[in-house]
Parts: sequence; C-alpha cells; structure tokens
Amino acid sequence: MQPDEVQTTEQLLPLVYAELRRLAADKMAHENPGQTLQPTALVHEAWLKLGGEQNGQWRNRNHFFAAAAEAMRRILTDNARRKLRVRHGGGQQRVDFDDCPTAADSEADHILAVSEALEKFAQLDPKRAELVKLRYFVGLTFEEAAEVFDISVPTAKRYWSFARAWLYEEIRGDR
Amino acid sequence: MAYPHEREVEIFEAALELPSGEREAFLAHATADNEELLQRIQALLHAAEKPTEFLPPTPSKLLPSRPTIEQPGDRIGRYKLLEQIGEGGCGMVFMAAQEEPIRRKVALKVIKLGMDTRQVIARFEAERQALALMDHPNIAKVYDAGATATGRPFFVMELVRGLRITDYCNEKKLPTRKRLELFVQVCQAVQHAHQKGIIHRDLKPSNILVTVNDGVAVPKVIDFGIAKATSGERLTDKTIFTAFHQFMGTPAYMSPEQAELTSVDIDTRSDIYTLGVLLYELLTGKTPFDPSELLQAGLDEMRRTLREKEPARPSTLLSTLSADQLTATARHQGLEAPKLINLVRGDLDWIVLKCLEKDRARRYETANALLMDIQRHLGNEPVTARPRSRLYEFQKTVRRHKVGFAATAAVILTLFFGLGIVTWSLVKERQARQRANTEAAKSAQIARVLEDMLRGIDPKSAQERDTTLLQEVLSQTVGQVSRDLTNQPPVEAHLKNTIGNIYAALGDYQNAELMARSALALRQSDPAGQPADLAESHFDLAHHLWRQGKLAEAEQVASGGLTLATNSLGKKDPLIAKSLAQLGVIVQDQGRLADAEDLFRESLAMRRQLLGNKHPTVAQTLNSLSGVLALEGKQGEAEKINREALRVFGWSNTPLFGWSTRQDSSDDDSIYSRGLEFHDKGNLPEAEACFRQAVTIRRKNKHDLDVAISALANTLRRQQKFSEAEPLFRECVAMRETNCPNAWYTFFTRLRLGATLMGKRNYAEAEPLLISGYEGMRQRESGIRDRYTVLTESIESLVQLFEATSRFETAAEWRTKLTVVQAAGPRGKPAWPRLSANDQASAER
Repeated sequence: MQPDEVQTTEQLLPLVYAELRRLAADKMAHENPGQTLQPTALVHEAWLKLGGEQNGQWRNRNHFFAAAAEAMRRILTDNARRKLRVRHGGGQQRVDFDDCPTAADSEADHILAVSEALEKFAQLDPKRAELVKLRYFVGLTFEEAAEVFDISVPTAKRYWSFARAWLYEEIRGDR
Repeated sequence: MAYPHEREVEIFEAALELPSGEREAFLAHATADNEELLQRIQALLHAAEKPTEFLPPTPSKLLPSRPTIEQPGDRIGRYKLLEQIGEGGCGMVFMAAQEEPIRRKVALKVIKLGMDTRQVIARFEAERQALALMDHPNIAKVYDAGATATGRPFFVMELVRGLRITDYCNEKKLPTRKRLELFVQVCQAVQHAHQKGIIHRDLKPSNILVTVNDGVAVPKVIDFGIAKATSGERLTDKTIFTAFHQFMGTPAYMSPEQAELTSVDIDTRSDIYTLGVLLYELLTGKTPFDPSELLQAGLDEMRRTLREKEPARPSTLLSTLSADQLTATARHQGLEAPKLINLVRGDLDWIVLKCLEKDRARRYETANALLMDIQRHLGNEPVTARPRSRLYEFQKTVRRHKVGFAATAAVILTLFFGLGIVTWSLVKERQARQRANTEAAKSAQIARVLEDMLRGIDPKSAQERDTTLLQEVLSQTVGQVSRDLTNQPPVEAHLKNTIGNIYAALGDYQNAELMARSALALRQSDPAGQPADLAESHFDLAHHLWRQGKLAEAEQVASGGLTLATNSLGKKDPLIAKSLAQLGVIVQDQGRLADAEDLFRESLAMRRQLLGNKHPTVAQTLNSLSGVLALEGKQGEAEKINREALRVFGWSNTPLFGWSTRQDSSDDDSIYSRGLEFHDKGNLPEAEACFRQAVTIRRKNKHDLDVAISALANTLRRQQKFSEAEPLFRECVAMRETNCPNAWYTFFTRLRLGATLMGKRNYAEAEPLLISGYEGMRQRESGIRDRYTVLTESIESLVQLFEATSRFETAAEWRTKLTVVQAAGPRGKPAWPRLSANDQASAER
C-alpha cells in the first residue's frame, strides 16, 4: 500500500463503522434485508478491496456481517502490522501479556495477538468467533450483535464470556 | 484434547451461572474426574473474571475519531450554515448564507470524508473556468469550492428549492407529454454543458430538481462539475479510493463505461446514457435495472449487468408489472394502464433504448439529437431512433397529416369494416373453425396496421394538410409491402387493395388500377382465398377502370365480381347489392339503359331489405335509378324516385359522398355537397363560395380535387366570370387527361373549357376543344345523364363560334346536328335537383 492509500483507509474506516452500526440499528427498526443492505454497497466493495477474498455474494444478513467482520479484522490486523513495522524498524515482536495484557503499550500488538488467537478459535467455534469479530472489530453492542445473529442478548453475553476467556487463555499460553 | 469443545463450553457456561461457592462441587461432578478438563475450565473461569479492558469492543486507538459533522449555525469560510436540506451518498447539503461579496442564500455541499480534499479541489479548480462559462436557465450555477476546517471539500451552488424531477412528476400527476417537455429542458441543459466541455457524470433524479416559477415548472440540473471533481481519474481500481468513489454514483444510473472501474474514458455519451435511464424512469416509474438487485448481486455481477444485459423495453417492462403497480404508474401520469403502454410502445421505446445502447457509438451523438427525437415524437414525425420502415413512416405521415387524411381514412375505414363483415358472414355460413381462425388472424393483422394508421385521424379537425408526402410514402410503401409480405398473400392483397383505394381517393387511377390488379392476382392464385375477398377485389378494380373510362373491361371485371359474390355469399348480401349498383353505373355509361335500370332496381330492393329504407346507400341507388329513368325518357317516374331519394338523404342526413353526417360539418365533402345544393337551386354566389372553400382544402389533401375545381370553374362560367374560370378549367383538363384520358368527363371538361374561351371570344383555341369534346362526348353520350343539355349546349356553342368567325356554311351544318339531337332528347330540361354529371363518379363508391 502506498502512504496516501493508508491515509485513505483511515479516513474510510469511521464511515464503515458508522455504516455497519447504522445497518445493525436498521435491522432492529425494520425487517427488510434488501433495503437495509442496499446503501452500504460502497462499503462492501471497499472491504472487498481491502479484504481481498469474497466476491460480494451475501447469502443473507448473517453472512454479510460475518464477511464484513472478517474484512475488518483483516484491515485492522494489516494496519496494526504496519504500525509495528514502522515502530520497530520492521521486526515483529511478541509482547508479553502475562501480567497485564491490556497494559500493552501498543494496541497494535494486542490486535495482532487477538487476531491470531481468534483465527484459531474460529476453527474450533465459528459461532462464538463471529460474535467476537462483531464486538471487537466492528464494535457492535450486545444488543446489535444479538439482533444480527438472531440470538437473545443473554446468549450473546454468554458467548462473549466464553470466547473472551478462551482467547485470554490462548494468548497467555502462547508465550 | 481429551474432550470435545462443546463439553468445555457447556460446563463453563453452566458454572458461570452459579454462585462462586457452588462452582467447585459442580465442576468436580461435571468433569467426572477428567483432571485436564477441570483445570481447563478453572483457567477459563479465572480468565473470565479478568478486568474488561481485555478485548474491549472496538480498538479505538487504531481508528481516527469519528468525523466531526458540520451543523446548522457553523460557519464554513464566509458561509453560515442555516439548515440542512439534504443528505446524499457523498455528503450533506445545507442552505447557507453568504455575506460578502454579495448577500445571498446558497446551497453548500460538504463532501463526506474519504476523499483527498486537495485533489478534489484541484480538480474543481481545473474545471472552474469552464463551469463559469455555463449560463443556462436549467443549470444551477456552481459558485465556489473549498475545504472545511476538518479538511473536507465543500461546494457552493445556486440554491434550488424544488423536488426531484421524478417526485415532482408523480406528485403533480404529470401526463406523459408534460413529462417529455420537462425532459427536453433537461436535455437542453445537458447540451449546453456539453458544448462548454462539461460532463455531468451523475445525472440521477436527485440532481435534477424542479422548481416552479410563476406557475411554470423549471427543471434545474445541479452538481455540474462536482462528480468530476470528486472522482479520481488517475487512480486505478486497485485502490479503495476508486472503488469508493465509483460507487458514490448510484449504479442504477451508471453507464456501462462508468461501471468499468478501470475505465477513465468517460465522455458526453455517458450523460446520454443516464438521460436514457431518467427518461425510462419518467415513463415507467422504474430504472432499467433494479437498483437493489444490482447492489445485492455484488460488484462483478453489477458490472456484468450494466455492460452486457439488455434492458427491457419500457413498454415491455410496464406490461410485466403487477396490475396494481401498473395502475399506480399509469395513474401518476393521469392515464389508464393500457393507454400508458400504448403510449410508450414504439417511439418512446426506441428513443430510450437508443440512449441505453451498451456501445456508446450507437447512442445519440448529442443531447440535442436526443431532444430533437423527443420533439419529433411529440410532433408525430418519424423518430431517428426507430428502425426505418416505410410502413412506419407512412403511419407517421398519416398521423401527422391527420386532417388531410380524412378522405383516405374514410376509404380505409370502409375497407376495414367491410373486411369485418365479410369475415363474420363467412364464419356464420360455414362454421369452419379452422378457416375462421385463419381469417381472424389475418384480419387482426390488417386491423393492426389500419388501426395504427387511423389512430389519431380525426375527420372533424383534420383537413387542411398536404398529402404530397403521403403520395411519396405511398409509392414507397408499395415496394415495401411487396417485399415484406411475400409469404402472406392474403395480407399483401388486402394492403394492396387498400393502397389502391387511397390512390383512387387521390385521383391517381392508373396506380390504383395497378394495385387492384396485383391484389386480384394474389387472391386468384391463393388456394385458400375467400371468394368474398376476390369479389371485393373485382369491385375495386372495376371502379378504378370505370373512373378511367375503360368501360368494357370495367364491365367484365364487375360482372366477374358479381358472379363470385352471388356464388359465395348466397342470394342477398350488401356486397352483392353494391356490385349490382356498380355494374348498373358501368352498363348505363355504355348506353344500355334498360339493363342499368334492372340492375339498379335489383340492388335497391336488396338494400332496402338488408339495410332498411333509410340507409344512405338506398338513397344513392334511388338517385342512380332516377338518373337512368330520366335518360330513358321516363320523366314522371324519374321525378318521383328522385323525390324519394331526397327524402332518404334528408332522413339519413348524409351528404352523398361525405363521411360526415352533419350539415354544419366543415370537412371538404360536406362543403362540396352544400355547394352542389346551392348550385342546383341557382344560388351561384353561395355555390361559388362553397366550391372555393372545397378547392382550397382539396388542393392540400388532393381528394377528388378535379371534381371540386370543375364545379368551381363551371359556377364561375355560369356567372360570366370567364377569366377566372379559364385557368381552373385548364387545370382540370390537364389533370383529367393525365389521370383518366378516356373518361367521358375528360371530354366534358374540354367542352366546358371551350365554352369558357368562347365567352372570352378566343375562338381559335375554343374551336378544337369544342369539337374534340363534342366528339368524345358523342361517342360516350349514352351513359351521360345530362347528354341532352350537354350536347345541345356544345352544339349551340359551335354554331355560335362558326357564325362569329363568319363560317356560315359550317354553322348551318351544325345547326342540323342540333335538330337531330333535340329530336332524340327529352322535352324540356329536367326540373329536379340533381348531381352534376361527373359527381356520379363518387356516388356508387
């Protein structure tokens, strides 16, 4: 990526977030997937460009959000990797999360770690991994995420608890 | 892992629900001595207790803060935002107040984040000069551009308060024509911009607002120059930038070349495409491709659709709508559903599709070319978008010249109805289902063509148009019909018959004869041909022959037709009655008066029985009968029959040849008939006025022009206005010598011209005319009702001529001839009102 493209991506991301949140909100307001998906075409396509795979054939809303979340994960991971590269002269370092994982000075490190762990978790438990992506990479609330996946809010919270614990364990044990 | 993941989850979630005091016991039980699992769950539960900072929703530091959004009250440069008036795909629009250098309200559009502000403004600046040159009432001016404090580009434009063009049209229930008129103005605006080198690139309805000034709707195109400025031409499709911007445009309005992300080659024809989409939407309420389908299909499929899929014709789309949708769409245009489809089918379909051509070289070259075609459509002229066909141009001509085509229309109409009757009677008689189907299909096909031609023909308002073009088109149509309909002899025959009758209505009997012959030949060689059709062809051909004075052949053809009609239709049928009367006229013209009388009587009886005593054709036959009785010297009976004829005319209130049924009607036939009445009552000035009017109209529509000229000239002659009569008679003689050199009325006109020249004492020229006229008349005299008057008049003129030129011996010879004629003729002049001799021509049609 060229520097100006990086800038563009950063300018674009808030829009993407806003759009996704709006979509999730719309879903609560009225049930018309065709309608609510429509205005975000430009956003999907933006992800496609960034995320690479997926040719934009959304089977349904869940599928769309899953793809969107995956695309966001990639975007953010790439961004994080790039930042680390810049900061550490190109070398990638493993950061010790042992004592205080969230205290890591670089959120970028954290993202990379979560992203990698999440890839592993997704193999094992795709449902819960999706929820994490939506929460962590797209920033949906429990209510929004529950709506998107057609589950109850308590269920969404239960999913989250387990996934979060699993990921924590994964990152801690991966030293 | 010695246990399934699901088990781990299950136990974890169950444990989490429990108070911490109960967990240990539960876990020991649930893990069933699986130490590994127990430890694992405990670790997870421990992790779940960790502070929430781990895995917070959204890693905020990676993202820039949410864009600050401009609000009313904010200032952007020298503009103060007053209220938000719109929000589109690429930004927000505010009404703003500008204070200097001038105080005014403007529209200010702030572009969403995601663009390189520097480049946007640079591109805008590059076009600024050209934008400033645009000055058009249908274009909203762009005043300024700049960057907001947050670094976003903004544009300042003329403030337009109005509705999107599509919403305006629907809200006002604008009829199709008004919609097209608005659309034409949009084309004018786009044309203006194109001439200044500006391409809009985003002509969707939200960029075309309709404002109302003093009650007049004015469409305004906004955002000129903005799409260009906000699209990055030098970026490739690998960049997010391009992808984002390309889809700022609504794909439903995007041209195939715009959808091609790699394409940087956008020109004015992209705007033409989008205008086509707009027109499509104005007509049908829909865009050619469904926007949500386009978007849902994904980028590649969307591009493929725009590049390759042919859009449905607007009329086809309309016909595929659900009944409710269609009714709603039609109601928006103040129409019934079927009417809307009919209105759109044809020209408008073609115009729209020409705009939407995938290959831009096949679109309209300019917005101007498009608007000209719309105007052609509105003016009923052939549009260039239509694949050329003669028949189409002919239909157009008929529609455009609807007034002058009244007579033609009448002829076509007669045939049209005639066909219906024939079909019906065949079906009834034979009950042959198969045949009926073929027949119905055939007539449906012809009916469609005729209907097309007749649509828009209004005999009331439709007369003073030129038929020159019609004649040209007609001759080209002939070729087309012969070429295109070779595999459908019945249809070709019907059309040729029709065309022949139009030629006859225009006075071109030679071409009429050719057409009728060709139709007859086609029908004779068609094994499945209908005898009734064949009889009809005979009738038409006989008429055209008779008009040219080819009496012997006319009789032969007419008798053939009569035999056919009698054999196929039974004893009584309107067609048989018509054939009998026609044959009567032809026989009478050859001097066989008794035969003619019989034929007229037979026809009369049949018509009375089939059509009732008050039918106009009954009056016509009575009139013919009274004529032949007078020739036979049966004055008393002739007068009685004539009075009855007049009574029937009065009942039916129908001028003899007119198609109009009202006395105050202003079509040429009615006017002509009124002239005849005045003439016969001796009111020559009034007759002259009527005939003048009839001539004026017929000079344009050329329907029986020679008859009207002859009548006017004769009326003038009888008032001693020889100088005025002379050129008219000359014109009439010339016409008749061309069209029907052998007919008795051609000689009759020579006589009249001669008499007129006598009035001017131009004896040298009068003499050969009088003599040849007299000879021609004498050879054909037996068929002429006024032969006594005509012959005695002409001989008297010759006697006068020879005396005036001092050739007394010759004068004496002619005086002897006069005595002979007088001795053979009836005593005294006929006392009843009558048709002038050459008008009988039309009487039996």
